[in-house]
Amino acid sequence: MHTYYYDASFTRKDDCEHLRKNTNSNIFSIYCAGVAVECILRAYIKKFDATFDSGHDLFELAKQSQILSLLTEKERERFTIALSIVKKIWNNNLRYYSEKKMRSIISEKFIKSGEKKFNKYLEKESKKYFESTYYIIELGKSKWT
Amino acid sequence: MDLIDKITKILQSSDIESPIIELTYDENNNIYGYVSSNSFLGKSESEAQTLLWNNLRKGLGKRDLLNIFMIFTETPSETYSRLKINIVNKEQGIFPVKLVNYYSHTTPDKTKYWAFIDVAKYGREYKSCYISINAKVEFHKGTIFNYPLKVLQYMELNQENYYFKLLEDAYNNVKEEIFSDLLLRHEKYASEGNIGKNNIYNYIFYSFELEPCNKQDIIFNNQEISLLKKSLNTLKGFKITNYLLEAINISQSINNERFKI
Repeated sequence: MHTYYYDASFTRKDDCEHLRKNTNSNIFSIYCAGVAVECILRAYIKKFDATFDSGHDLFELAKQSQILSLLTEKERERFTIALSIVKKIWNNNLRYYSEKKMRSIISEKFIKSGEKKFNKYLEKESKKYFESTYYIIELGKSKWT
Repeated sequence: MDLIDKITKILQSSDIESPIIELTYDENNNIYGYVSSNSFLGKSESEAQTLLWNNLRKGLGKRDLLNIFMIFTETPSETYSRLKINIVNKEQGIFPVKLVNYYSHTTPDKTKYWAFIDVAKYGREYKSCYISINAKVEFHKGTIFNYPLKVLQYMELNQENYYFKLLEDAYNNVKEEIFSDLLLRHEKYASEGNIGKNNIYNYIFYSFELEPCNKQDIIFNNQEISLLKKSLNTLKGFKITNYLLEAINISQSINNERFKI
């Protein structure tokens, strides 16, 4: 079972990269990237405890995955930063969100950020989010035995 | 002293402002959790982690540091968003908010928060504002948010919906602000040994709401008037300023009459 989740993580990552090529698929690409992260964490959880199911909370999944026990102090810090970035955007209900709702959420984040240039903000936050998801997935791959 | 106690002590005496600390051990005694503080406002996740870890490294030995696995840094607003999702999941349904410009919230120990929100149009752009006060606990917050045309267009709203959407956002923002203050009070009570239902602020995790008020029913005491007057200068252009000035004048007359009696 854990290898299914492991493989699914990379399939979802490929799906995400495909979706990102189409600007009409923004929400689903964000959702897909988060699912890829969820899959790699579930792969680690299932490796150690086949019966466990921790819902969709990325913090709880990371905790139960024990992946942090395999990381150096610096890697843990970087992992925490990356997961924090992903968790602030992703939740399992994203799949029910309309484009309008997602735009509303992003706009509100921009307004509260105090930043001045909206397009630059969008570009920066999008890059940060997807780089963080890819980092977590690749880190999970590098530590897999 | 166990490691969570050590971390709590270090962070409470650090340059991290009023930290709210939620830490737990896993089955291998490694630490996971959240630290929430206004000190993380305006910082990137990386900067926030650096601030946290600089303080932890100053106060802890290498062995203790190895047991800290993952601590998320949050602003109080982000804490509210995270906890709100849990509150919504526990309830049977979400009741629509009645959108007005005036709200209040009274705590179990009878302190009162007032919250006022408004939206105004400036040319082709919009601004929203909120003020919140609680005179008894000397709480006083207010902010203006600017919505440039580019952002409004991105939101893909019909123009007639701008006012209500931005008012709804202002409501959510002021609710978060009050929740953050209540969370700090909750933590203070908890640090004095009042845990779970023994903590009078425990209700905020289950049933925290702002009650809509009628303008005619708003009466301020003298302390509240004093706090409000400080904010009103910054709210030029918002209609709510006039309504609040009116409410202040009426309140002052009533308070003076009461004093005479």
